[in-house]
Amino acid sequence: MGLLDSSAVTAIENGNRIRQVWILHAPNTATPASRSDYTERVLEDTADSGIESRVIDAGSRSFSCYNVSIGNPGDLTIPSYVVTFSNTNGEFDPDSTSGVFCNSGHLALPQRCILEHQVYAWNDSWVRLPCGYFGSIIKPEYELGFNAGGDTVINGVCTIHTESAIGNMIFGVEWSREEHALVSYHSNPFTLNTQA
Amino acid sequence: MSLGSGWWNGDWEENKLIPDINVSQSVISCSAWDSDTRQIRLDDAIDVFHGQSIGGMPYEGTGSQYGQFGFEKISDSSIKHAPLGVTCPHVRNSWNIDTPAIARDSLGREREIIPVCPIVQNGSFDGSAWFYITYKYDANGDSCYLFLEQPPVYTGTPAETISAVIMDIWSNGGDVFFDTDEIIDTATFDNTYDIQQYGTLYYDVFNYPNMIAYIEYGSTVADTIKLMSRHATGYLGIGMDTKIVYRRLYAPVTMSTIYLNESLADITMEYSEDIYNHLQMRWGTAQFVSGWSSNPSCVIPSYIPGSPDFTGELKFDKFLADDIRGVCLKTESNFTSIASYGLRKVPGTDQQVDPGLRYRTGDRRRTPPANVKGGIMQDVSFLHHPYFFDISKNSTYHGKKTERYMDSLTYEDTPRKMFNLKSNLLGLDYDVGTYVDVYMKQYGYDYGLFLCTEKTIDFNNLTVESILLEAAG
Repeated sequence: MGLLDSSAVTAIENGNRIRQVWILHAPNTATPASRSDYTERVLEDTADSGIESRVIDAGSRSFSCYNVSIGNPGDLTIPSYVVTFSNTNGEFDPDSTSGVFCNSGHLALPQRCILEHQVYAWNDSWVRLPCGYFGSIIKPEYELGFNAGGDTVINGVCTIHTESAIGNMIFGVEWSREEHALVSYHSNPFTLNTQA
Repeated sequence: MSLGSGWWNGDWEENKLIPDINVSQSVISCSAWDSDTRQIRLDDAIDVFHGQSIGGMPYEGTGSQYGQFGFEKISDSSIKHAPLGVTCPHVRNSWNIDTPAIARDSLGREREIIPVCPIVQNGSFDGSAWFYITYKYDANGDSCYLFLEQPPVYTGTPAETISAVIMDIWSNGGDVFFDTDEIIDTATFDNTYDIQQYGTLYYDVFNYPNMIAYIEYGSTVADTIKLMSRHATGYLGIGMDTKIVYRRLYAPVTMSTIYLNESLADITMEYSEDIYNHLQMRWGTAQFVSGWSSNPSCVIPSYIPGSPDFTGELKFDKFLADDIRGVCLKTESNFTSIASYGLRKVPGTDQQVDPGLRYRTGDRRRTPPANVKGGIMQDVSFLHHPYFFDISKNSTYHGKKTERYMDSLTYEDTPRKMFNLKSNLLGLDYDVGTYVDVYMKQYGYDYGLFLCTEKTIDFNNLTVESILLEAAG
C-alpha cells in the first residue's frame, strides 16, 4: 500500500471516470495578505458540464528526486507544467478586465496568478489523487485570432507555462549578501605595504 | 520521534545560528600590516558571539594580543558557549592575506577575496567557525578595507538543516497563498529525522550526523540544500503533489508492490529493463574537511584538514554493515579501503608562483607556506562535500572530539537493473524517492526493492511513466 487508498485503487482498476479540474487563482489586490485575497476561477471541470470545456492539451508533469546515489546523485528539478486552453472568447486576454486574470476589479498580471490542477477518480464519490499541482505562471502564450473587422485579437489559443510555485520560491532563491549577511563589519582603511 | 510539535511553527529557528558582532568593542585594527610577514594581525579585540544562541548567554570575549574570537563551540552533539579564556580558540596569525600584487588583478582593480578561516587552538584544529573575510582596495590601491562577515549558519541533522533553510526562506518572502503544510511534506521530514524508528541497527546505520552548513553568497538555495542532502541517504525532491519532500528508506510494509506483466484496466503495463552501470555507490567517513578556499593566501597548517598537505586516512564507520536490506550501503574495512583506494589528499590544482617575489633574501618567512611546494602553489579545491563536516563523539582527531568528515568512499560497482515502467494511474501509488517491491507475477519472481527516481504523469492519456532503479546491494 502506498499513496493511493483502497477506494482510489478500486476506481482506477475498474476503469471508472477520471475527473480533472483546472483552477486559476487570481489576486484581488496588488498586495494579497492571504489566500482569501485570491479568487478561484475554475477554467475547466471535466465532471461539470456547466463549465465550458476549454482544455485542448492537458500536458504532463515530470518529477525526479535527488541523492539517488552518492556516486551519481541525479537531479533536483522544479516540476513544470504546460497546459493549452481554447481562448475563442478572449478570456485569457491579460488586458481584459472581464477575463480570468481579473477579479474584484483588480487586473492581475498572469505571473501573479497561480494555476491549480487536481485529478479525481470516481468510486461512489470523487477521490482526489495524490498529484495536485500549484504552479506559478511563467508566461502565457497566444495564438492570435481576428475579429470581425479583421483586427488581430487575443482570442485564439492560450498556452500557459507554469513552474511549481513552491519549488520556484524555495529553490529558485539565490543567497545574497544584502539579504543574508546579518553581520558585516569593516575596518577603517589601513595602508598596505605594497613592497614585496 | 519527530522534529517536534513546534518545529514547523518556529522551532526551526533554533537551528539557525545568527551571528552577531559586538560592534562597540570590535575594532579590526589592521595597522599592524606586517610587510615582512605579510600578515594582517587582528590586534585588538573582535568580539564575536551568536546573539541568538541555543541556551545560555552569548559569550563576549575580550582583547588579547591577537584577535580573539568567542564562538559557539561544538561539543559532541551539543552546542555550548566557549568560556572565556579557557577553551575559546584563538586565531593566531592564521590569516595570511597575501601581497597586493597577488590579491589585485593585473589591472589593479579592487578585488575581493573570501577565505573561510579555520579556528586554531594550541596548534590543532578545534571546532568550527564560519568567517568570511573580504577586503578591497581604494582607487589608489594603497588603502584597504577589511570586512568581516558571518552569514547565517544552519546546524543539526540533514533533515533539520534542510527544513530550517526552507522555513527560513519561506518566512522571508514566501507567497501568502500557501500555508506551511502546503509547501513541505512534513511527514517525510519527520520520518527521515526519525533515526531510531527501526531500532538499534538503523539507529547506527542512519546515525545522521550533526552538521554545520554555512551559506555561500552567490550560490542558490537549491545548491545548499542539495549539499545538505548529500550528507545523508535521504532523497530530496518535489513530489507529485508539488510539496518538498525529504524521504528516507521506508519500512517494507509501507511500500507499494508492482506486478510486472500485469494487465491494469485498459492498459497493459509496459516495461523495459536496462542496466544502470554508472553508479559508484559510496559511503563512509573520513577525516577530511572541505578545502577552505581556492585562495592560496589562506595558509592552513598541514595538520589541519583543508590544508593541501593534509593527508587523511580513509576511515569507515564501524557500524556500517555490508548489506542493510540491500539498500545503498556497502562498507570495507580500513585496511581494505586503503589497499583499494590509498590515502587521499585534498585535491587541488597547481599554479606557478614567482619564487623571487615570495622568497627573496631577507624575507622572514624563509620557509615557504604550506601550500607552496617547489615554487608551485597548490590551489586548494573542495572535496566531495564542501562546507560540511561531522562532529561525532566517536571520532577522534588530534585527541579532540572533532571533525569526522563524511565522504563517499565505498564503491559499489555492481550493475543494477533499471525499469522504465508505464502504467495507468495506479502508478500514482508511489512517489519519486520511495522504494517499491517489483514482482514478476507471471513467473512468480520477485525482483526486490527498487527506487523510483523519476516519474512523468501524462494527463492526456492518463498514464504514469516511472523510472525504477534497483536498490544497491
